[in-house]
Amino acid sequence: MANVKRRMIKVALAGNPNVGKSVIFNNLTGAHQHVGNWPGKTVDKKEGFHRVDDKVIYIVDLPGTYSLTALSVEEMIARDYIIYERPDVVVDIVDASNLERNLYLTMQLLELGANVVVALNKIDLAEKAGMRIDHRKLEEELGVPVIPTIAPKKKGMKELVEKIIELVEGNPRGYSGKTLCYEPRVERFIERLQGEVASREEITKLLNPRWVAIKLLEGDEDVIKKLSEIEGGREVIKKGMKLREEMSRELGDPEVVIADARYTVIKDIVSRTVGELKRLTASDLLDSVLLDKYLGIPIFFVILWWWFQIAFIGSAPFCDILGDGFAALGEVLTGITGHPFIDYLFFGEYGIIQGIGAVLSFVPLIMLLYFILSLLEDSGYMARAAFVMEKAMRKVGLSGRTIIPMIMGFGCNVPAVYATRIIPDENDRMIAILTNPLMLCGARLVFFSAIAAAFYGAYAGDILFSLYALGVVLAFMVATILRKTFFRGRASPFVLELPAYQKPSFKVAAVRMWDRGSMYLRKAVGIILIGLLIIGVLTATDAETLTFTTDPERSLVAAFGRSLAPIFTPLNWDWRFVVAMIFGFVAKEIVLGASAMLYGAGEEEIASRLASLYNPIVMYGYMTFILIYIPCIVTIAAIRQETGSWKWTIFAVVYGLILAYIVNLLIVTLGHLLLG
Amino acid sequence: MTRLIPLAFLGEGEVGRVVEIRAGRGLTRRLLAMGIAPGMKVRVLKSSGPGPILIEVGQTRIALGRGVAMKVLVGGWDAWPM
Amino acid sequence: MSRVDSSTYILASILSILYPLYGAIQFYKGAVAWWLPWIGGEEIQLGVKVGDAYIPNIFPDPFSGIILIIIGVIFARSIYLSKRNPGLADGFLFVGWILASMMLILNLVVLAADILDTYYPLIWGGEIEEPWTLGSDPWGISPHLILGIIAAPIYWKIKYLLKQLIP
Repeated sequence: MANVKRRMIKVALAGNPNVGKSVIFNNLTGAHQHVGNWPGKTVDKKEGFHRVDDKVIYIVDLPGTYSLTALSVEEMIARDYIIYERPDVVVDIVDASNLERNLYLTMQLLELGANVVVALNKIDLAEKAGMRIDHRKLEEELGVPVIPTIAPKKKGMKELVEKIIELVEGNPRGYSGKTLCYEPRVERFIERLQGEVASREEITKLLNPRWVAIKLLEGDEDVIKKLSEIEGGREVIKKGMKLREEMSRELGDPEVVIADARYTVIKDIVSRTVGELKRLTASDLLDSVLLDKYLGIPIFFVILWWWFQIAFIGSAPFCDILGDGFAALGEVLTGITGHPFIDYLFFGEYGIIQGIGAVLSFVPLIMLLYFILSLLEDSGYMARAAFVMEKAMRKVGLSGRTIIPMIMGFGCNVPAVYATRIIPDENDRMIAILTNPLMLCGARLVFFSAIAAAFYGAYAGDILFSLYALGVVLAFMVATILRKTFFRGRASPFVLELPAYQKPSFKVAAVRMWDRGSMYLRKAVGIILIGLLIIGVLTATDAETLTFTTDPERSLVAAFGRSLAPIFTPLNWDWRFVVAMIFGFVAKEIVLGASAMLYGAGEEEIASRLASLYNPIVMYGYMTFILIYIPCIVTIAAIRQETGSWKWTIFAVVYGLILAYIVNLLIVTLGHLLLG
Repeated sequence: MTRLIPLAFLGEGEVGRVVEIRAGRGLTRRLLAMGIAPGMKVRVLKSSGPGPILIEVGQTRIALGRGVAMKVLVGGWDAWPM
Repeated sequence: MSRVDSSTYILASILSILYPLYGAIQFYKGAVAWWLPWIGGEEIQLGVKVGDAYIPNIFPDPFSGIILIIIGVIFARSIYLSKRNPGLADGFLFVGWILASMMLILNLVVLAADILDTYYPLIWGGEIEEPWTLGSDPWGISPHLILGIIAAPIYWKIKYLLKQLIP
C-alpha cells in the first residue's frame, strides 16, 4: 500500500470582518465548500477542501471578529475552535490598509499559542493610500510567516498554501516559536501567573499557560469556567484573581491595561515596518490653508466681502429697473380711477404700487445672494468657514454660522433673516433672527449719512461708524441675554463633517435662487400690502374731517404723532420726529423723505434744515432710536416667516422699541450731562 | 506610558485609538454614525488653542467642539512617525 | 511635491508687494474719505492716466483696501513657506490665485452693472442722465482687475492641485 498517508491538514481562517476572508476562502475551496451551522448557535459555519498534490487541506472559515474576548458568540466560536479543535494552522487574514486594528487580533491569536500564518491582504489598497509595508520585516517582528495577498486577484494564494504545508511538515503541531512580550510592568504579572499555570499538567495539556494567565488577569469568565472544570484549576483561579486585584490597584483596570499593552507593541511593530505615510492630499492641503490659524479668518472675510459686493452691486441695476418700472407704472396709472383718495393710496408716492415695487426691488438682490451662497456651500467651503468662525463667535454666545447673516444684515436685514437657515441649532437661529435688525442696514444708512453730513461735518464718518458699532455691541448683548433667558439650553454639541471639496453646480444654484426669490415674493407681499394700506390710509385721511388730504400735517398720522409726542419729550423729540419714525416702519429709507415732507423742505435741504433747528446730541439720540427700533415691515415679514410665530415677531418689535427708547434716553441724558 | 485621555488633549498630528465614548445617547449615536467608534483610529489634524478641533477618522474629516472632544476617550498614542 | 518653479515665485513676490501696496493706499484713501476728511490725500493714485481715468483706479474704500492687503499677505506667506514646506506653499499660492481671480471677476461684474445701470432707461425709450465713462465709474479698472490679470499665469502651475481636488 502507499506509504504516504493522506493526512488531512486542518486550517482555520480568522480575521476582522470585511478583510476579504470569504474571498480567500472561496479562492481556496472553490466548489468544494459547504455552509452549515456551528452546533447550537445561529452563526454560519463555512467549511471546505483544497487539494494540492496528494494533500488535502480542510479549511474552516471562522466568524470575523475584532478580538477573542468572551463577549460575543462569534468570538467564543472562534476561540473555542482554536482551543478544542487545534487546527494545524490558523491563517490570520490582516487588512493591510487598517494594520493596527487588525494586528490586535493577531496579538491574541499569538497569545493563544496558535500556529499563525498571516495573510497580508489588500496590499494594493495600502499602496494606493501611500503606505509601503515591509512584509519581511513584519515577519521578523511578529515571529510568524507573513504572505502578501490580493484576494480578488487571487494573488498570493499559491504562496499561502505552500507556507501552510511547509509549516505542517516542518513544525510539530503546537506552539509557535517566538513569544511577543508586553511592557515589563505588565509582563511581571503575566509571568507570575504563568508559572503557576505551567506547573499543572492537566491544564497545560489543553491550554497555553501564557494565554490562561493573560485571560485570568483580564477576568475572562469563560476561561474561569473552563478552568474550574479541570483538576487544579480552582487554585489557579484563586491565585489569578489575587494577582488581578493587585494589578488593578497598581495599574488600573487590567483589561484596559492589557489592551493598551497590546497596542503599544503593535505601534512599535508598525512603526518599524510601515514606511512613507499618506501623502498630504490636495484636500488636506487646501484645508491647511483655509483653516490656517492666522489667515483662516481673514480669508473668510475676503470671501464674505466678495460675496456681498457681487450680490449688491451686481443686482443693483435690476433693482433699479424694477423700482423705476413700478414708479413709472404708478405715474401712468395716476388719475385712472378719477378718485383722488384711491389714486393717492394706490399710485401716490407712498402708495401700494410703489410699495410693491419696493418689495420686488429686493428680489434680484435676494436671488443673487442666494445664488452665490449656494455655490459656496456646494463647493464645501462653508463648512470650513463655520469651523473657523466657531471659536470666535462662541465667545459672544453665538454660533459660528451666525456671522454670515450678521454680515448680510449690514446690507439688508431681509435676506439676512432668511440666511439664518444655515444655522443648525434652533436656539442659535432664533437669536440670530431676533438680533439681526440691529445690524445697520443700507436703508438706514441713507438716512444716517445725510444727517451725519449736515450735523457733524468732519466727524460724520466717525458718527456713522459709532452707529454701526453700537448695533453690533447691542446685538452681542441681546444675544447673550437671550441665550441665558428665553433660549437657554446648552449649545448643541459642535459636530460638523467637512465634506469633500467639489465643483459647485450652477444649475442647483439657479434652482435655489429661484426658490428663494419666489418664496420671498409670495410671503412678503401679503404683509407689506396690508401695512402700506394702513399707513397710506392714515396719511391721506384728514384727522378732523376724515376726508382725503394731501397735507400730511392734517392727517391722522400727524394727529397720532402729536398725541404720542409727550412720551418722547424726555428724548427731546419734535412731534415730526415721531411721524417720520412711524413712516420708517414701512421702510427706513422713507424716514428722510417723510421728514422732508413734514418740514416742507426738499430732500436735499432737509438735513441742513434739521441741523439749524436741533442740537447734535438730540439728533444722535434720534438716530440711535431709528437704528434700534422696530425693523422695517419687510423685515418683519421675513421674521414672521422664518420664526413661524407671531409671538416672536411681536417680541422683536416690542423689544426693539423698548431698547431703542432706553438707549436714546441714556444718550440724551448723558450727552447733556457731559457736553452741556 | 499609555493611558486613556480625552481626544481634546491630543496634539496636532497625534494619533489615537477610540476606546470609549462617554456621552448621552443622542450624541453617542451621532458620533458613532460619523465613524467615531471604539476601535477606530483617529488622527488630529488641527488643534490650536481653544475652539473646535479637526480630526480624521477613516477617510472622513470631522470637526468637533472641545466639549464633545472631551467626551471621546482615546488610547494615548505618540505622534505618528513620518 | 511642489510643481511650482522659481519663475512663479518671482511672480508671487511681485504680487505680495503690489497687493498690500494698493491695498494700503486704498485703505488710506477710504479712511480719509469716509471718516477723516481733514487729513487730505484723497487724490493719491498709482497708475497710468488714460483719458479721464486712472488704470488702475484706486477708489476710496477702507474695507476693499484691507481685502487687498490680506491677499498680499497670502502670497507673501506662500513665499515664506517656499523653502520649508513647498507643498503648503503651493496651497497658499492656489488660494491666492483663487481670490485674485474672484476679485477680477468682481471688477468685471461691477463694470457691467454700472453700464447697465446707466443705460437701462433706453429699454423703454427713456433718457440717460449721463453717459458712462471709465473715469466716472466709482470703481473703474481697479487694482482688483489689474492684479488679477497679473496673477493669472499662476493657474498653469497650480492646475495640478485643482485636478487632484476635483477629479
